[in-house]
Amino acid sequence: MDTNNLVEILLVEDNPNDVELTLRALRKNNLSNNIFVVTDGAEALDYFFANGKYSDRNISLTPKLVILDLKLPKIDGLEILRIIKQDDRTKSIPVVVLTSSKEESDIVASYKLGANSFIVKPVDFDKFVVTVRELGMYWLLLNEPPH
Amino acid sequence: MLITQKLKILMVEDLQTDAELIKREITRSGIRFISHVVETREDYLNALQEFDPDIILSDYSLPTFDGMQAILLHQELAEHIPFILVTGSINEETAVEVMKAGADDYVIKEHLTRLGAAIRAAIQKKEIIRLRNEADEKLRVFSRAIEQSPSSIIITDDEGKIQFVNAKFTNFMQYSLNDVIGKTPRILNPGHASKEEYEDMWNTIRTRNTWQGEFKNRKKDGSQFWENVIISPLLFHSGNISNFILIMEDITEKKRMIDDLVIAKEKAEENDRLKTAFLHNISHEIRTPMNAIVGFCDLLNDQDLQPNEYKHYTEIITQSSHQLLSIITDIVNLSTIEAGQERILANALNINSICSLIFELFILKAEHKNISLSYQTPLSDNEAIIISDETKLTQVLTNLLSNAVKFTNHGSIEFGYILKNDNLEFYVRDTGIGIPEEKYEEIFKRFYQIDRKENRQYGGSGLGLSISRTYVKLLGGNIWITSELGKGSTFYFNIPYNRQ
Repeated sequence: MDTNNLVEILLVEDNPNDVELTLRALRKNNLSNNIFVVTDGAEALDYFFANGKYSDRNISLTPKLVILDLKLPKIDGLEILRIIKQDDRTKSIPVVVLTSSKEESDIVASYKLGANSFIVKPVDFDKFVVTVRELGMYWLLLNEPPH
Repeated sequence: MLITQKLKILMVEDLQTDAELIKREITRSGIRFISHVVETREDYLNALQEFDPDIILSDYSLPTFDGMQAILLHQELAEHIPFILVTGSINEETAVEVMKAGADDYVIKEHLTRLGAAIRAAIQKKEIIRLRNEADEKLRVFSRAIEQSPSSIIITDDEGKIQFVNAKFTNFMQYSLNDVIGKTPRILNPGHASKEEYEDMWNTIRTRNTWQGEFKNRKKDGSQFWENVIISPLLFHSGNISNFILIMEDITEKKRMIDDLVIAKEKAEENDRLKTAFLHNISHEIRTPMNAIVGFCDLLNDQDLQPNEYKHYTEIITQSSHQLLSIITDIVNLSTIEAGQERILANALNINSICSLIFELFILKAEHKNISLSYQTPLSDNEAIIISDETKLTQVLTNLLSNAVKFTNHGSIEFGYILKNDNLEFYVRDTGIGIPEEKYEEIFKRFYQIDRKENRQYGGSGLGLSISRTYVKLLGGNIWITSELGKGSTFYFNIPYNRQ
């Protein structure tokens, strides 16, 4: 995939089953063709800041929405959230945190670090659509504008 | 001394007239009294008991009794009662004898005017003796209390130099009084207490307060122990300090118990922390396959599902279910180990058959990942029969093979055993990601893998190697690893070559 194409949703998720479930649900809801998946924390940061294998990416083309798993290899989700919410180049990107548990501490920590919303796996996509709507992103992400 | 109450006077007198004369004289001298007169030994003894006199006035010679017998009986039975001999003129020698026998005084009947003063003097003398005896007895009790106290006691002068130590001190500390007399108690504490501690102590006791603290002290033989020490100043009536008293109690055992309790508490907290971490980790490990099962089951209801998608999803559901099952099996095994209920069930088994079974179990998975799988069984089937626990041996090999397949993405996996010094040494060799040397020990600890983010993509309960190590130990062997990062790992374990 040419990473200079406009990525609308960046999915940061290491578990292939969860990736598949998420992608399928997004497509089912007509929520974007341009979904890009990274499978560990370090790769996610490389993507955001155009480092490593993403060094020729145009850094100013930020995704419209990030779906971020909390349990990630190498660098975990909370750390990524902290980094991108502190950097001027990335802090305005809405982040929906995805997690397998309803751990109170995870939810509190995510919101403190600037997460825009929180979804518990297995992904309930009715809730996801509501979330995206609340974020004012729904129409932006929808593949076909409403007639 | 003032005699306020009526004095009870026992008179030993055979002559009525003499008795009257004596009574008159006592009355004249201003002493109020009641009297009882006896003249036989029997009456005398009864009166000592029942009349309970304050003083005895005894004649010297009586028809059936005499003053000498009276004084001897008095010495024997009622020494504390003043005794005055009141008699007609007797010779000097008799008087001396009676006085020697214990009489307080003697009064000649011809000079009765002296009787009142003699009675007063005799009573006073006995009172003084009584008070002194009382005081002496009190001192003896105090002295015994200190000497026989179960606490070590030191008494120093006002400068802190030791004057006295009790028996407990000398027994316990092994120092004699001579060893320590004139020295300060600081010799018991060579260099353990700080200067500040001593200053605080002296400031407290010099200002007439009691100081309490703990010292690590040393016995004569050099052995050390903890003591709780209470130091109080002893004061003169004037308020000046006369002495200091140190009461010391060995608290080594108490301190040790407190230390043990602290250690036990910390251990309990650490266990609690590990349990919480365990639950947290295990809940994630269970949720991951559960999420896949729930998610893909949902998709199966989708009307426009293609047959190939349908097959793909059911495969994922099946594989996730197996993963879940293996995690639950691990947890159950671990609980059995933790509860100390894991036992060896030894039977005759064929290690060649086990290796072949393991091969069958993993060949498909290996082929699926394009890894070659092979095994070696150097002993003949007859020689390969040993006595051991088949379930546990199979479980260990399964765990090691399962890890090898999981962490190897290309290359090969070989396993098998060799016979080495009466031990069967099993090995599982892969060309996987490898393990750095500093982690050789850690990987056998519980949850090692799932604690490490970098390996997250490999999944698993993180309990397999920990369980394997416990099993190998139960089977009487050891488990270890050699590895090269990026090139592969070989896990070894041995068990006795027990053919019986």
